[in-house]
Amino acid sequence: MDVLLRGITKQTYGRLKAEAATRGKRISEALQEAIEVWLYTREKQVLSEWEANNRAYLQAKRRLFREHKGRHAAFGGGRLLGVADNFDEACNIVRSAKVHRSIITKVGEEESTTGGEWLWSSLELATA
Amino acid sequence: MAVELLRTRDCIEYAGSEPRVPALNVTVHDPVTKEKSRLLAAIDTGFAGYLLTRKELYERFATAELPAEYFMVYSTMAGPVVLRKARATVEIGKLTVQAYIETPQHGPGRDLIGRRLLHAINIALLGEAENCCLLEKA
Repeated sequence: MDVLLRGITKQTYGRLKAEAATRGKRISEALQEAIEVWLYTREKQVLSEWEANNRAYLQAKRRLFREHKGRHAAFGGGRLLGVADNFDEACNIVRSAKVHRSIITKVGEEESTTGGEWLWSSLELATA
Repeated sequence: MAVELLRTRDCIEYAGSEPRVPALNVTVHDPVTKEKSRLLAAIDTGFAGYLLTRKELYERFATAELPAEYFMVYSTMAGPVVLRKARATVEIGKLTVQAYIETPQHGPGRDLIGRRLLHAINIALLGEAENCCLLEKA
């Protein structure tokens, strides 16, 4: 597809053009690569925060079960942000921490992980 | 047997390609950011979960996600599938339900209303008219 870009600085464009020429690539190929790298980096960032929050949860789990059963624990930025008496309060804790991703769990009272059977649904005809 | 009169409202035309799929307009609210989004989700009585969403939508609304150890595992023909799970408020017509949004841990996902959410609402599928309607007491 064709894309028209406006507002790119002359300096940045000049560097991109020079780097693309050095590698024997077209500007469009260099831009495509740059976009893919940017998207990949963003995804990795989100994933690593997700991993850090889950790690923090596992580290705090035993203590939470011992001391805060039935309360809501909030994790973000790879650490325990706080424990609240209800879900809305836990949301406030996350909101004030200004983190991108968070985990909120009711300590010791989450639903079982058995989702159930996924029947013959969501299947559509497709050409072979 | 008691007879109850119900009235249809908020009817939505079936969506997608032939044979078209019954679907409902759903508004998802993120409990932390208060952001909301409206989507058309297919009714899927085969899916045991809550509201399955596309990955990009889930990423936007999963601020209050559950720890990974509480993600649900569904058994399918192709083996077990793990779905990520986050608390969200789901609005269907006049009804507001505290529910969960889910998306596959791997793969893109799609917008489907599953059985756990269908248990909270009354709907009618008017096959000949290709309309999916919410029901309320007449």
